[in-house]
Amino acid sequence: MSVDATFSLEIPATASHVGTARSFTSALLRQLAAPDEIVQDAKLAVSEACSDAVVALQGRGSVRLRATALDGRLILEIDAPGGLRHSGLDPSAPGLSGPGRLELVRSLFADADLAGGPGGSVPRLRFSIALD
Amino acid sequence: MELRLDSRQVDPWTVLDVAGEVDLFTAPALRERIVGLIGEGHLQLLVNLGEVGFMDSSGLGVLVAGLKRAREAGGEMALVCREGPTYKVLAITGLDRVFPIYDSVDDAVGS
Repeated sequence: MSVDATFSLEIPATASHVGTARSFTSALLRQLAAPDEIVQDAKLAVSEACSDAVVALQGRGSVRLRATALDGRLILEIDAPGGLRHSGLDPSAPGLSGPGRLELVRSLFADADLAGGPGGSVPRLRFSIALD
Repeated sequence: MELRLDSRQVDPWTVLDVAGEVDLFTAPALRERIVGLIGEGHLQLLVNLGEVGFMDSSGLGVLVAGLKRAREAGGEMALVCREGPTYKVLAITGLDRVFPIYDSVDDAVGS
């Protein structure tokens, strides 16, 4: 596979499709010959980010995962296209709250960061993985 | 995505064997089974994560809630989990220090 390429996946904002985002991430990283530990960490980070977006969107709209291979790194971005507004987290949803999920991702990928969504929209999570 | 849940008695534990992936979609089924077992009086609950290929914080939330529920009822909840991705998520959230964790069901029975 050539580097410096962009791959994207858009899934319905439902819990049943979070696994699809993990499968996409896993397949892409394995094709880029990433070590298994990195693949597992990236799956966890993507699952947390997509789950947070799904809970926030409460089943409306979609979640987008974009992966860009650039200069020996894979940059992963998860957001909600269309600038959907954050519905507020569902307190009955299992798992960590939004900030808790981000902290978990940060513990795996130190450069993980939230880019504020405009006008209260679901923010974009971005982190990168060294491929070398 | 499939999550398989089977329970069996291995005294003194009620063992809940979990196989598959635990995430936002499947965690409610795990929660329902744990709540059901505790409600039926299975207060020494050993959740066997040995065949779990993936678990995120959705699963952790269910396990923590189960532990709290078991202890409030006077029981205990422990985990079977070896080194690997599932153990790592327990470790990075500090939950490896909250749950009793065994390498195998046999180890838990013999402890």
